[in-house]
Amino acid sequence: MVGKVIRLSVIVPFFNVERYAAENLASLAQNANPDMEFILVDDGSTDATSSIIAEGAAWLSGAQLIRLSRNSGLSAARNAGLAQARGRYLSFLDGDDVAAPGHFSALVQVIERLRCDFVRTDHVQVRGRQRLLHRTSHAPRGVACPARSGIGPAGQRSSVDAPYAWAGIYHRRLLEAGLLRFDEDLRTCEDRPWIWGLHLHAHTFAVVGLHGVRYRRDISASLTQLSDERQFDFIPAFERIIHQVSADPDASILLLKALRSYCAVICHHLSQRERYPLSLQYKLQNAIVASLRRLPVEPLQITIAALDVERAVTVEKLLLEAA
Amino acid sequence: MTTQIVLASTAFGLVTATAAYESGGFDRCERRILVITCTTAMPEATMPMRAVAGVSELMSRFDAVYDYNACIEPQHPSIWRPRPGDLPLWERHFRQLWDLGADDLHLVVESIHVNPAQAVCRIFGDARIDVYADGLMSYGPTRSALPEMVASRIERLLHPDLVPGVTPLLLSDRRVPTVIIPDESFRAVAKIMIAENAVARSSEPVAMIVGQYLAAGELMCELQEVDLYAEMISRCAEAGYSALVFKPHPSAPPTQLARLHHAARAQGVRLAIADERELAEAWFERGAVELVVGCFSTGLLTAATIYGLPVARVGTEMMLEQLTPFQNSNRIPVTLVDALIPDLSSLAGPKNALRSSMEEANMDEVRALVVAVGYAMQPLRLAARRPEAVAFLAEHYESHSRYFKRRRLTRLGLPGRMPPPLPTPKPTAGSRLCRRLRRARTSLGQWLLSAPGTRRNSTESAA
Repeated sequence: MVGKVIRLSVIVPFFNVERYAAENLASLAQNANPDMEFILVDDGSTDATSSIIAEGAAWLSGAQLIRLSRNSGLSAARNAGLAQARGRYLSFLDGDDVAAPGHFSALVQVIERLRCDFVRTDHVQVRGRQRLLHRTSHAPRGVACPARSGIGPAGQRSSVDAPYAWAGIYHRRLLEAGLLRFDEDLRTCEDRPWIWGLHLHAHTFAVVGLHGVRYRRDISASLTQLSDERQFDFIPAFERIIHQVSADPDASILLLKALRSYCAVICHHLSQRERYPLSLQYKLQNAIVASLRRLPVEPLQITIAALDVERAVTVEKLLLEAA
Repeated sequence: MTTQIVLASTAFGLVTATAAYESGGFDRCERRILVITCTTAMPEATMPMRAVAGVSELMSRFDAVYDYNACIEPQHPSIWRPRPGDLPLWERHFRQLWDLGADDLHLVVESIHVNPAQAVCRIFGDARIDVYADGLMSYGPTRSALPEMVASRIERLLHPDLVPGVTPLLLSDRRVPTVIIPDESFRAVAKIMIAENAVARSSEPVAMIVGQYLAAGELMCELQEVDLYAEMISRCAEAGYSALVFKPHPSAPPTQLARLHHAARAQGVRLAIADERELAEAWFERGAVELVVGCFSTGLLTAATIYGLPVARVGTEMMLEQLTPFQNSNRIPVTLVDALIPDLSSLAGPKNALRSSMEEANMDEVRALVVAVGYAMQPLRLAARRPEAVAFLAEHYESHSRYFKRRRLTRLGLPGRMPPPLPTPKPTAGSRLCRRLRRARTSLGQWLLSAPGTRRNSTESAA
């Protein structure tokens, strides 16, 4: 291994995904390449995941295993992987997802060709045998662009609205600049401030039509479907984004986009509130109300005015309670 | 000019189709192309077919090889199907992709009742169609109604003679003639599938446990499936076999092997996991196996019939009990294995000769059993076979009741049905009076018949 140049490090966190871990590893095997390393992070799994990936680390070429002694969350697991990564480029894959054969080589090729700080991709959502192509909105595609152009004006879907760390490849200099670190105190929604940070502080990026990641959407245990308080971390996540852009020279434009996304996510969570027990529903509502109170008033009014009626009414009602 | 297109989803399927071709089973054609596909739940995580030993040799016999999954990516081949109005678009598209020009086409496909075979047959709407058997499943009835435009073009069903004397029911409702692929042709192709280094590796013969994909096929949960294999390991050990090999099914998702190793250690036997890059048939071919154990894998019948190897089953009783609904297309494979192959525990002494087990079976009875079960599964499609089913059940229901469900037989009015409900007792003077009162529908009659506690006032009930 001494002196070997690692082109790409793929960080793959696993937490209690015994049903899917073996398929994940099998798909990595069809991506293996002498200049790639797969950093498998066992995030304190308590089921058969640990033994499956320990076995996998032994036969999967380029694999190395990091074992966290207790469950530390996706952010911490990814950060642990980043700390070990030696690659010139970095990418991610979740432990319950799968990458199409050759996906990572294609990613490396495209970032080397476009010579930008990071590249974002489309992906395929999988429910059983049903598949749905998910596109990341940006124009022009396949061309290196200023990173900030990926934020886009409010009311227009953009790269920051597809906040999936695994849908992309990132140059090592972003890691060195501290931009690839995930906030470990966010238990969900950690991808949001992360992707905003990249688009705010990196120089160039591109969106390409590669779509090799198979993102499972049919897992009941998946965190995106868990019904507990961890889901409420979207509130501090967005407040962090808003805090960050408020100090920015382009604050007037960026803030509107951030607020618009925040309102959309608030409405989404409220529409799903029946998943929570009643006490949590109150807690969620109170937390949102308190958060709205902290937001800059005028940009929020502009944002609400641009929402569709249903969402506007939802947010207005919450604001009345805040008043 | 005619181009033959062979569609294959597994190495075993490719062996079957190649054997059919090598035995002279097809009309002459100028060009042959192979289209491979993978229909597991997550093809991206499945070992590619070309990694199986011998497959690249078989591929080299075709003029071109194409990957169907790549052609329709990111769609899944079991799900994707062209809309009827778009069929000509897709035909133009695939003719270009596969360099077919304006050739006449001859399709050779398996599993015609599902996609991708059905999609391909619909897209090439003028092509002749031959179907080749996908293992024991072909002995069962056609699972679902085929589009007429596809069904009417099917010329033959080609199959290895896995159950000599029994004719596959598949497509028999369409009176599609069956053609047997000779054992010698099958074996000649299977010989190619022996991995180069395998012969040097193997030492003493082993008992092979052939895995399936029962959990992935939603027949049981993963834990149950692993338990079943663990049970096979202990039962082999009890029967005196000390060197075992587990052969995972190539389409099965990666199994938790740790539990199997644990079971083997507990029994004090050696367990190896067969390299998934070699077909079970290659093991049979190179004489590395002294016993084949499985639940209802097609491999049991290839081993017994084509290779004359001793075989034993485990777990078919449970499968017969659990399979649901009755028309589940695994029912005929389970039935055949249960009827033809001895249970592993029936081995009297260690390494008892099982070679003769198939010869002992009464093949006439098995043939009739398959028809009766097949009819009960698909009574509409096999309506013409009802008299045979009735005759079999009338004579053999008692001894073969495990293959049927009484409710099913009752619904179909077949022998073995539940007895009719008890006849209503002869009317007595009292009941006659009641009936007459009821018929009179008078308020007095209603009042007399109602229970004393619930009697309402008579004017109300009259209203």
